[in-house]
Amino acid sequence: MKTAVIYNTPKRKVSRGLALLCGMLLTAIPVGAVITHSAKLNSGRTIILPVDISRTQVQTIVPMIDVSVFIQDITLSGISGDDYFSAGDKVHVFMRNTGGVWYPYAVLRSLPEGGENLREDQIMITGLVSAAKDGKIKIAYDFDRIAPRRDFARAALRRAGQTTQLELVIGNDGSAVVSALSLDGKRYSQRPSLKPVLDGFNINTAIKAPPR
Amino acid sequence: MAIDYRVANDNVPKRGTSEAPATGSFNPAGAALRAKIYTPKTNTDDTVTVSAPSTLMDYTPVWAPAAKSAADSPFGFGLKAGLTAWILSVAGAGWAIYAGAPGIFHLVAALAVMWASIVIGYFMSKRESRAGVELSALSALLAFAGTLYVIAAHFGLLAPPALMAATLAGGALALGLVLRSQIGVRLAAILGIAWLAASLISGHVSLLFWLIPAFAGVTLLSAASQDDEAAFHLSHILLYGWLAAALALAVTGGIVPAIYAAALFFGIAAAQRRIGRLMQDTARPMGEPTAAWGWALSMAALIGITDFWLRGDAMPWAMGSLDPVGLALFVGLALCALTVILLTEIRRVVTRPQSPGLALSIAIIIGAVMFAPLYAPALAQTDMISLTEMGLSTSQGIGLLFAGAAFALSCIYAVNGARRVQPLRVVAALLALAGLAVVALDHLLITPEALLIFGAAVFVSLVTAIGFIKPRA
Repeated sequence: MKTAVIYNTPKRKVSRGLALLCGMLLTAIPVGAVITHSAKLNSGRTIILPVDISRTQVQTIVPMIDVSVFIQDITLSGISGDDYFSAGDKVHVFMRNTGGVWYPYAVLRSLPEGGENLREDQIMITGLVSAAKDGKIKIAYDFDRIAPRRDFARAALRRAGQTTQLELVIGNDGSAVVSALSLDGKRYSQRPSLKPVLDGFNINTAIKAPPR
Repeated sequence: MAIDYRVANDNVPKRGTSEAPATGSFNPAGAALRAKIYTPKTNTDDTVTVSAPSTLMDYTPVWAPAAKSAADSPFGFGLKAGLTAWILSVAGAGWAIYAGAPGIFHLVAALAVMWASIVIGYFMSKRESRAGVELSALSALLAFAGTLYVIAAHFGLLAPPALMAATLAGGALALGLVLRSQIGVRLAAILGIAWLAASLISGHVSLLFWLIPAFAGVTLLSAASQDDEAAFHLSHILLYGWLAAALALAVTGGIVPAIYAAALFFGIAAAQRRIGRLMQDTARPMGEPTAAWGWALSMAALIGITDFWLRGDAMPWAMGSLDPVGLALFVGLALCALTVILLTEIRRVVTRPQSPGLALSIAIIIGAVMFAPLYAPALAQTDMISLTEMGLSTSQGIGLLFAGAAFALSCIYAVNGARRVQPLRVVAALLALAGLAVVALDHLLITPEALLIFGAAVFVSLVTAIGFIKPRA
């Protein structure tokens, strides 16, 4: 006997366990990113570098600035370490602090044994060679493009020729995370505020009430 | 046993537990008369109402609704809770944006919207509400995108565009797979294409670029499992876009010359074509689009290979050296493609059915097209007197043979498309003919002999193809 199939749509039943797993996975991505970012900010060493803002975008969904740092362009002849790089190579830039000023003194393609154990006045930042030509290399870092606070981006757009400083937290592995930006001496923290406190609410207000 | 023909009216389909004793309200649409098996006694315990000789007319409603329970109501507790949570979390997100609350509020609100959407999707799927599932999957994906926006705008975590697109694409695919949402899988494929574009624009090839084929494969399989042709096509654009980009990178990186990249592309697309034909034989879903994509892409590669043989000294075909790594890569991948083709054709000996000789010859012809470039330098130095007298080189002669084969295959494809009233097939074949005209027309008009070689190739290809089309009796 021939049976006619009336509805031939694929089964759309969803597994409860899979739905839970999916939700947890999608939650873990942003939460994990924030936790990792906070852990990096709290574990590394902080340095301050002078930067130039090459481009500011305020009208985008996320405000963005492109910064130019002097360690983005390195002449290999004037520095220790490897002499030959090609685009796409990983590069470790070693910097030394002299009187509060950080300057690069060596670049290496790969870290030697124990290369990450540096003295107090030395740090290492890892980047990627984006171009190599005539003994000069151009290095791309994680902090080349920053999503600053909107008030910083607006202030940077308003005032030209200002002194801008970048506060970086450098991890032992050479990763660099932006912890703050300074514009003409005013500091704009980039650390995520995890305290759920709204502007205008102050729990100390009751204590400061005048005595009867 | 006999059928009571006097009340025979069996046009109304029987659905679910329709013949269970009606306990709900009477449904006039279902009050149809059904033919009953005649049995001289009445069995009241059976769920099927059996007509006694004295009561041949049975007015039992065929679609009488089953008893409703709390869990089966259109808006059960779970769904109500999910919808309430969704409304509250959307309101919370709106308040966080309006009040300029710290980023943590935005993140929590976006995550709450995402979770509420997943819960709604789960309960909607239990009720088999397709629109509900699709809307909740879309809402969950938007909320997930919202979390990525929040961590960028409020926490300063600005990921590179490729990573952002990959994360979103992964989220869309996960939602599409888990909630069985077509919108999820389609958006995953579209975001995958954005991921590919962002990877190529970034200037350097990262690990993310090499993850694309695995992602595209999962998207393709989930599109096939959901019988979603649009997602299937989008996944093909992603998969073959990645393949073309990877081969182009290998060519520009000096790993393989352009002709070997074209030959590999041809082999992989031809393997897909054969797999598609096997799927059509076994009436598997997506057999037709699989075969169609395989034909279109293998034909595009074949036209490129024809161009190489006709004007091999021009860009981008100028032969570079094939280093040992490139040779191993080419031979390995080409043999993989050939193995797939051979196994597929051997399987078709049973499903089609076709002769083993025919199965073997298809693999041999495709293998010859793929491996011929390895002998191109030797062939270019060979002076065939008969061709030289015609004013043609050996390579040009081979190119004309390829052009004839491609012309014949395109004509057959167009005719079959017209016969089966498939306009897209006709359009694809016409595009192939146009491409072939651009590549080969000026070479055909060099001498009358060139046209003769082309015509002979067309004739032989047509005869061979007709032999392939005709299955074994």
